[in-house]
Amino acid sequence: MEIKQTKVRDKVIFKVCGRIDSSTANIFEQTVEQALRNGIVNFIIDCTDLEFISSAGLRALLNLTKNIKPKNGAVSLCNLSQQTKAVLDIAGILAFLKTYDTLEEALASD
Amino acid sequence: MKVKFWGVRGSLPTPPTSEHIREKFIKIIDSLNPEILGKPDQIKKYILGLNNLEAGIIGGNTPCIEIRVDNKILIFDMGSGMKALGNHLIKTKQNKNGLDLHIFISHTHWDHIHGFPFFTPAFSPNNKLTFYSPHPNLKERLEVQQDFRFFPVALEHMSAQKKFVLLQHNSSIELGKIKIFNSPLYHPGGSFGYRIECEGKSVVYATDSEYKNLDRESTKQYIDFFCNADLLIFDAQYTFEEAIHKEDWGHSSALVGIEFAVEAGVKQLALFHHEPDRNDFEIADILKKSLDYKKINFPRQQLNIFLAMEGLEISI
Repeated sequence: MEIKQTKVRDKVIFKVCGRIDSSTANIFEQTVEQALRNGIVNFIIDCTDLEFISSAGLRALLNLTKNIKPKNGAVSLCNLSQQTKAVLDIAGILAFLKTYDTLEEALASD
Repeated sequence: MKVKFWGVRGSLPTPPTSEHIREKFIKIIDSLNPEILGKPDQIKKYILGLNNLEAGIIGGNTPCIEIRVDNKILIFDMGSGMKALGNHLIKTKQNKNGLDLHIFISHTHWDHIHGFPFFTPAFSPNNKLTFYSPHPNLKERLEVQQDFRFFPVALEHMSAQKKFVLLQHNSSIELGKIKIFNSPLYHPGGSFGYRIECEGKSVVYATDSEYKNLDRESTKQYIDFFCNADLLIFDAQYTFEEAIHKEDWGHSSALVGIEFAVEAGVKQLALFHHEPDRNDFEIADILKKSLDYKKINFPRQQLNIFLAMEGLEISI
């Protein structure tokens, strides 16, 4: 898995390429934790190239939303495939996440 | 090896409500082919052909599983399902000899021991009960449960021959051709999973366990314990989202069970220890979502996922 970071105004886009599973979820967590320590509070997770997400990845996503709350920040997800959306729905966490069809929509959101 | 579920509910015995039974009646009536209306024999045949989910119950009794293997009877946990098991054992006993029962305890929370005072075979001196657990003082724990303040019959007045075997953590014991391994699980007060192997077949009973860290290193011990099991009986009390919000409550979800089962090469996964606050339709929805999840994330894996239901018997 690879994560490419791009800063746009006050938001940072994390483009995730590959799989977030039991082997890679810790890389995702370390990356976003480091960003949090650097003062980033508005995260956009671009899922265009996300191939697979397991429960370890789902937990990492939920942890990020939990950690961001006291900082008055936000986590948005965009470009989710039907499969990823279905997995988030099955896990019961889709309703807790802000999702957008496109990156532009995520960037334009408050 | 034959596995029979006598109790599948977590936490608390959960009888179906009248409202829920009515809902099932209505669903059955809705599903009837109008052509068989007014034909009682055909209606009866149709209803008898429905499964427990449709025309029966998933089960409200707390955990108790019977495994028959190598001419031995093994029992896993003593939830309220143990009462019906005891009655069945007495009714079907085929010779004058006493019963020789091997009882394995995951832990001593109420829902895993409160069936024992109602276990009829424990009241006959001809019967031999051997209890196994890595928890120390199991006898004392059962005595406390049957203290006169809580139950009218003391453990010592249950006249079956009783023996208590303290298992070492992560050890195995042999009963004839059967080998039984135990492994600690993360649960308040501690719980233990059991892996039963005999002549190339294996069943893992792993209930009352939470998996907080899902990275490969943390889960390796579980994957190894479940490895290539023919059947994994897994604590699926919560949805994935509930399991995260109920951190340290000591239970898991079907989603995690599916991932472990796939990783470990398990053949069949029984979703077990159903949440008492869920009715059968809601539990069935968990199965549906589980099958969807498996189809999306692991489409090529051979894994049969099903709900543990009271009375269900599986040959391995």
